[in-house]
Amino acid sequence: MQTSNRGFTTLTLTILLLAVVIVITIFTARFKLQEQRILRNYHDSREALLVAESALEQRIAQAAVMNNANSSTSSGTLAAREYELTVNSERFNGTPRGDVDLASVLARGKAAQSDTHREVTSSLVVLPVIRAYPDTPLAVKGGINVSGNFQVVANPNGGGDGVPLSIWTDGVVDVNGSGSTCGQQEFSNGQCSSRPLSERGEHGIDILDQDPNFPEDLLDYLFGIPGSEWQQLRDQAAAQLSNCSDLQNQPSGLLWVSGNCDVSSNTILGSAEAPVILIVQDGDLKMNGGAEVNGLVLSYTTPEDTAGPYELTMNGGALVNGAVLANHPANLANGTLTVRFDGEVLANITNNDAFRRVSRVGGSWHDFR
Amino acid sequence: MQLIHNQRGISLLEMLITLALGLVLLAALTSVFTNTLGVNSRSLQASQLQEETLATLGLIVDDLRRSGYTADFVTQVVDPTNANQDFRNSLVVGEHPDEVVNSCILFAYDADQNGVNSGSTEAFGYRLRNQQVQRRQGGAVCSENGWQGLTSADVIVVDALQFTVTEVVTGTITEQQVQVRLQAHLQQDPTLSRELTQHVVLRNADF
Repeated sequence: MQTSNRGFTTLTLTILLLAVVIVITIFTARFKLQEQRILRNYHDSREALLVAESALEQRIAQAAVMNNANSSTSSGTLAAREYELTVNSERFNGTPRGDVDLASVLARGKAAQSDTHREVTSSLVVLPVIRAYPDTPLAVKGGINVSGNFQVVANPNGGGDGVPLSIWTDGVVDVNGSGSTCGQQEFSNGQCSSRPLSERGEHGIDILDQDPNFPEDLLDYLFGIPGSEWQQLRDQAAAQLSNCSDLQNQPSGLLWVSGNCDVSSNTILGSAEAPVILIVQDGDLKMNGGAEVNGLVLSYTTPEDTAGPYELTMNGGALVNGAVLANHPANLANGTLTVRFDGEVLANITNNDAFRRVSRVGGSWHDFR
Repeated sequence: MQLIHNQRGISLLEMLITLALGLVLLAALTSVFTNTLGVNSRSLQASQLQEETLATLGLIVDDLRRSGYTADFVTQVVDPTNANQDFRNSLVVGEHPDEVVNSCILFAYDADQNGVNSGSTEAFGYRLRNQQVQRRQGGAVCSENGWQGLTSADVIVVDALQFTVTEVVTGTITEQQVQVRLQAHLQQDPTLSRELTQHVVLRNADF
């Protein structure tokens, strides 16, 4: 009995070949798997970083819209990837830029398919638009000539504790009309003209004129922006207008008017809680009877302007609660002008969110602890 | 007897045909097999190149993004006149004298978060040198020796590393960006090459 052994060589050869193929396949598969793991980790890490960065940018944009960056914790998803946000805000009073809030924003992003996460931190600073509010109700560069009837109600502590201040200028205060300056109490009692601090021909201590320390650049003094770069301030305005016909419909905040501003009668602009900063650039400012502004009014002539000088006119019964400033000589004619220093209104100009701006702090971005 | 009769074997012609067919088949199989192996190893090499370049670029970009960071940023805001300016404007683009222009970048950030520049340990940089990407060590400048190789020259050959600093203005926002371009090929197979470009926005930039 003889069996057939003819297939032996073929079988051995086949098995050998198969074994070689299997070994190569396993080796390649392992190698590839390892490689894939490395790549996946790399991509997860990128993904987590992107999520964290996006969340951070979103929070910064949100803070910029809301004009504040208060302490908070939140979480959410971005393109189905989770993130957590922690904002820590701290107040620093009396810095060269006023009372500022410094907020660190920590964003932690997670990859979709794994536990990989990345953290990025950046800081924001919330600065007041105005560095410090003026401590006088009327500040004019170049002198004041008053021919109408006016009342300026002094800041009771503008010249130091208990020393009232009502007019501040580097020029001469020339009172021709029937004007007077008085204290807050006297004004409230309707005794501004009968019990004045200063009146025609009689300058009291509340008028600080021919002051060599009057700021050369009023814009820089108030807002920390040099006069030559006034466009920077305009870009921060809540509204940019070309005239004042629609003034009463504007929000609280910085209102920038390019050109003549005619505040129509009985318009009440702003309130003690939500005041305005009204800047009239290169134009005449005219407040008509019964018009009232709560906040700060600045008549500003830009350095490159050639069409000036501009007028500052207030007609019968116009009232400013806060302060009026001008960087050019002011001719206060006609009607009755009343400017009353109001500490509450002016304090809200530095503290309200509408007057604060969020910026990034350079040098604060980092992704390590 | 009956069995023996049946085992006649095959004729010479039959055997030759079988052998020829077998050989053709084997040759075909071998070529397929070697081809597969070749493709496989090429794809392995390609992904190795991809990984090396990606990882290198990733490292550079991640590091570059931190440029200018200082733990003392609070003072910069609260008390600018007394703040140290250690990490400001630390970004410098240059090159080693024997390499192409803009192939070296130097920068600094507050790695130990103590608010002051601790010198060489907080001085970072990357450059192209002898077809290799190198990392700055001990505060050496672009032209000096003592940098550490990041890529191994026997695996990948770096043909180009280029840094371009630009300011991008979008509306009222100005951003400082660095474009990093890395081009490399495999040492074993120069036909396999990769070119990667990435833009980094410098969050800590000074304007």
